[in-house]
Amino acid sequence: MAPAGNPPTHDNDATSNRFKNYYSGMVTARHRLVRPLVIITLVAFFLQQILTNFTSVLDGGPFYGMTWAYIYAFALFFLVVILTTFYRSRMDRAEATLRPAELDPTSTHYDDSNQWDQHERLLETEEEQRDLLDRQAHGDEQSGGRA
Amino acid sequence: MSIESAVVFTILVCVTLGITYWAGKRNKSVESHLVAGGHITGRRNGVAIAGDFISAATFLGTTGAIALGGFNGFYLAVYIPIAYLLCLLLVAEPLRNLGHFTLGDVLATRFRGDGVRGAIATSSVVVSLLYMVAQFVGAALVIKLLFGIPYWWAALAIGILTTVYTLFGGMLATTYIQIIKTALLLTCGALLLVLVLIKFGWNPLSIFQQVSEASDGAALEPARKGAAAQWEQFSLIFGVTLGVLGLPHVMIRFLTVKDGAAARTSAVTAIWIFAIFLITLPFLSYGAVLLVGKDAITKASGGGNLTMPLLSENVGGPLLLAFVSAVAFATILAALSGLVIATTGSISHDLYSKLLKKGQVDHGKQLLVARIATVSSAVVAMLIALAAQQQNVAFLATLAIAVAASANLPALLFTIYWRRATAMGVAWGMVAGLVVAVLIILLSPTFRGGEAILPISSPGLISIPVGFLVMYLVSLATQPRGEALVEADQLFDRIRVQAVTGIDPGDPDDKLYPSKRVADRRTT
Repeated sequence: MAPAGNPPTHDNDATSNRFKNYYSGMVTARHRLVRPLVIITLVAFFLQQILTNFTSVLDGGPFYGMTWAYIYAFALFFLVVILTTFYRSRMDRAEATLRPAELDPTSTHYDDSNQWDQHERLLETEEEQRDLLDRQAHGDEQSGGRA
Repeated sequence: MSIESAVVFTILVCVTLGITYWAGKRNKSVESHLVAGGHITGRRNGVAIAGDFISAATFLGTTGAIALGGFNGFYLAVYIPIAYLLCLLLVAEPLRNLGHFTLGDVLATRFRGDGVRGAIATSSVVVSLLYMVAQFVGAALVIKLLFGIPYWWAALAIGILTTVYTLFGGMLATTYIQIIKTALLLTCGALLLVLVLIKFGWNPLSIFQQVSEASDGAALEPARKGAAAQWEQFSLIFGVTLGVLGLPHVMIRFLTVKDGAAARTSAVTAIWIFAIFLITLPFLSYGAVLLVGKDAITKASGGGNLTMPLLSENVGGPLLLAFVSAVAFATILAALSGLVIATTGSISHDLYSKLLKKGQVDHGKQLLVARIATVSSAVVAMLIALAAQQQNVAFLATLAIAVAASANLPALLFTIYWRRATAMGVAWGMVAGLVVAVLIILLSPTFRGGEAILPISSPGLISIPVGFLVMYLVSLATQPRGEALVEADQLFDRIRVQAVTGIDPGDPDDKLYPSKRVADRRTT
């Protein structure tokens, strides 16, 4: 399967400009989110590894036999879920705001795979009809030329 | 094997074979065989990804490691959601937007020669086969213990079922078997947690308190057994965390969805499932220690692999034991099926179709070769597993993940993100990462016992930086000049657009390219 989306047609500058805005907007959104989130994740995780492996600061605990090491480990699970949800909501919002509908109507606008399949079939039918018309026109030209 | 086990086992096999039959009718093309035609929805793919990575090693091995090893065993669960978060942030969307069938396709969008595709394809086959053999041997041993059947029967049953699923059902059957397995696993985990909590008055902290008292606090605190063991632990976790981002059978799951947004949904769904399931493991493991006893767990299996089955028998009787055993069996089959498909893609698409035949292969022939590769991969792994019954093959899984982290991950990241990466740099970096990982394991206590030259067996801490460093230095040393530099810049801009938007902008002379201005400046 080819990567999702049809190559944009750059028949006019407006389409090209909208695509450029979409691309640069998505790059900016990704840069703003990805760098800090990767740094937070790596620091939080490897700090836990270093503190538990090479120091005793997370030994012992506050209540019920629970150690600081376990509290930190459980907190990492919550951190991951929070960062994941935050990243997804921001990227989905950026994509919904920036993506020009005419560039790729089949890609992000169908959550349901049946709708996607229907659209694919429609596009295939349209393509077949265009091919048929092309062949007919080409055949007419050839027969006209021979005549 | 008890009657309960036989009944649950038969139902499970019938359901999975039914799925294979259903998927087989739709599995008529290379696209459907290798990536399910890209028609899996984001959520379903996320559930399948979760199923892929919560393998028997996690379900049975990690619970055993926590029960017997205390807090240190939990390291093997904590890294998984972290690794997938990094995967979501760095790799998932670009991979979907650039890839087609394999990791080789992603690298080939930028580096057009055969060298880079050949290197990543070879590395992918090696990683998947090593991982598959390790899983196969471990799975056969677990099935032998669970059902009380001879090892070779277990290996044969696993091998035949895996071959049938993947040969006829392809990626579609593999995906839905993963989804069913994940649903069963979550049900099983929830059931066990409820039954354990009933025994402890619905107070999860009571489990921790009682374990702490029984072990004088040792079970809940990190164990530090000397510098070598501490560095070994750190290197292992460092390697497996980054290794996830280079494992072919994990990464190709992102190629089964339609676009980057669906890839994002897949990763998010998988992370939620990991977080919910893995956070319960200490409660189940310590519950098993208190209810079953550490001695009984050790007696049943040295590594504690039967902790969950023993706990289920204790709290739910033979029926729950049969259910847990069937879930363990489904877990093994699903994980192996994913590995077979990953190996198949690299052999049939990268090595045969693209490198050997230069892309000049018709559709039917590609599908035929893919199916031959499917059978060959499963049979080779099964034969090695049968021959290696008495061998300790646990190091193969470590080696596979180390190679994935040291060779595949730097190649993927440099291809997607670094403008100055060159084909030569990527190829040499992969070779360096792979060679260093293998060398360290050959010189480690795993191979040389007391005469080991190096004190650690997990190569990640050394081989991953070496892979990145060699890729960086060789790329700097082999920078293109003149026209070649302009072309390389334009191609990088082109794949950046595709990686971010999912749209290939096509002709490099188009106005879309930001670097067109750079190129113009350089040529004038």
